[in-house]
Amino acid sequence: MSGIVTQRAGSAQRRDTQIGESLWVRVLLISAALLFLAIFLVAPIATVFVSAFSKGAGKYFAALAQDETIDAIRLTLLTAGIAVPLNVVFGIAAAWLISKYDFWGKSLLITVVDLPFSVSPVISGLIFVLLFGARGWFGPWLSDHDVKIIFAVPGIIMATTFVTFPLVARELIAVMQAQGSDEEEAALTLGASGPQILWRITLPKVRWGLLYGVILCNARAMGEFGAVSVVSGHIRGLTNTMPLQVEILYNEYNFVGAFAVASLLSALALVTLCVKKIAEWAAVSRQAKRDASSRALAPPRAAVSLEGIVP
Amino acid sequence: MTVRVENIVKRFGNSATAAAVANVSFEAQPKAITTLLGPSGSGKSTLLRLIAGLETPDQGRVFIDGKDVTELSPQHRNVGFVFQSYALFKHMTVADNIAFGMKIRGLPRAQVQKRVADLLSLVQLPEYGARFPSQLSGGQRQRVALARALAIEPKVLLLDEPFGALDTQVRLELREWLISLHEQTGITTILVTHDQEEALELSQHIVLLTQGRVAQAGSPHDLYDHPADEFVASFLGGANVIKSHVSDGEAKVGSQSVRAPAGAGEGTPVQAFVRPHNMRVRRPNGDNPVDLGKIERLTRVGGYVKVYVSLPTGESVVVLMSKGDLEALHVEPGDPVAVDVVDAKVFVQSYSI
Repeated sequence: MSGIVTQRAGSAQRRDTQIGESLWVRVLLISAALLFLAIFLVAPIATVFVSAFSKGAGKYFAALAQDETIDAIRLTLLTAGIAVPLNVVFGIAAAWLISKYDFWGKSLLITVVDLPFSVSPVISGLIFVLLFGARGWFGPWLSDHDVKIIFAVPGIIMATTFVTFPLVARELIAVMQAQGSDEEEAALTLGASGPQILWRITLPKVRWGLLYGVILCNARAMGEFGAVSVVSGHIRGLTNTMPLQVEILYNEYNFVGAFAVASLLSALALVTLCVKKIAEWAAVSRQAKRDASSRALAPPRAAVSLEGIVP
Repeated sequence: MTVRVENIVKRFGNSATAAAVANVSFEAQPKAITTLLGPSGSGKSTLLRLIAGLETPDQGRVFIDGKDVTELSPQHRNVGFVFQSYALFKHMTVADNIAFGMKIRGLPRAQVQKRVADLLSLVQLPEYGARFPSQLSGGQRQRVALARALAIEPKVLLLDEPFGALDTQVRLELREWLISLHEQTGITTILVTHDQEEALELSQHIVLLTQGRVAQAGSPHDLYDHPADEFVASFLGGANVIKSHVSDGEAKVGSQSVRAPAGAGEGTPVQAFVRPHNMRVRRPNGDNPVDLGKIERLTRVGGYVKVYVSLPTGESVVVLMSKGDLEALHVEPGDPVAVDVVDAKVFVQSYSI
């Protein structure tokens, strides 16, 4: 989860290690790795794009331009657009609480933050059905007040938020705990208030970790299938997100349509990985640039003798 | 501005644990450097954090400049705090670090820039404003941290082992520099350190702490020359401990007798604390052979030699002599020698030892 941190430390000064393996062992290991990658990663992604364009680019774009598909894309963007900011706020709050304070039940809270990861997404969806469904705890009250959550957009957003909750929080907890609270304490003694410390010190400090968490959270929010499938009700044009739309189209033997939508999701995944890589690269190169300039500029250490200070 | 701490108690965890700070009172005089000195775990850093407001005391009051600040948040105490880890804002330049407190206070931009420039030259880093902390050496970072703390014109400067993470050379230079900086600014300073040499050299007043309480407070000379108890004597100056007992109002220490503490009866076991430079070895000269020690080992330390002598009582002591003095004696390890004591501090032996 804290890949960005280790990556930054590790790749600043990359060294070639001399591993004394013989040539054929290396060839064997490398080809095994490449074969594995080809079968489990490259081939499936390639299939998605090949199938999507199997009837030509015209059919591809026509499939994407269908009303139901556009509605699905719109709903997916809306869901991610709400779930990700919510999880950024929750994540920062939870990480702040866990890393800055000691309190009773802290380890319980850390476990609870992880809960959405350890529970099957289908169960996560069912939780919301049991809570807000027609026969759920709050069902009667909600139907009395004409509020629809299950089989409607609010349910999809809630399920997505729940499932993606740990992504931002976990990333930030790791980064914040590693960085400690010294800078915040220094800011406090310098007269900064809580919000000023959060805004000027803590968030800039954890910005790469936060970005990383947001990227992962966004990817998962757009791609979530299980939990959303349970609460959505599959109402076409209303409660279908992109992954659900892929399933529906596929079940209708509309392969071009299914793979066209799937290609968008795959492209999103690839773009996400690129953005993440660029973010890491930017962090590393900035650090490297600083190191290089400090080496180049390094003046003789300023004399700390008394000469020159005392007038 | 004086800082006064009254009957401070601070416990971490539940009430069954020993208090980190147990009923400490002391006063830091205005315009002076006061050192909180003690071994690790003595509560000195906790005490400093309590003064800054970074910890809240369970009991007791903290006064800064006569005002009770116990309930005041650190945000409003206006103290400059320097951390051992520097705690510079890594994502800001040196200049932005120093400007931080002033910007928070909403000072006009021009004034902030001027003061940042002044402070950079005060800490002798005038060219470094645009650098990031990661581009500075440890000593430079700590000077930036000092400049940042001074920028808010604090009532009191609190330094938490400021030189603890630096190598010896830089530490000695910064110590000199801190003395001159203090002479220029005249700001009331409280320094936490476990380094007795640092405390003796830097401060006008030392509060020696052990196990969360004050062992002794006073001027460096007071503590060094008139230690109140065995802990103070052994912590400051690395004294040798020689066990003895009272006989005719005197206690035998090495080859000599020193005056026993008042009120110690005949035969009372006592401990003498003798600093290595307050002892001399000499060739036996009509001494009773049972009083003689034996040289175990000689270790050269610069212009001095540490002479390890085993006393007839079985104790091992260290004697520090100048190289020339020792060479004039022509002694070697294994030789019998008499040990003269120039100055010793004798305490009635506590039974806990």
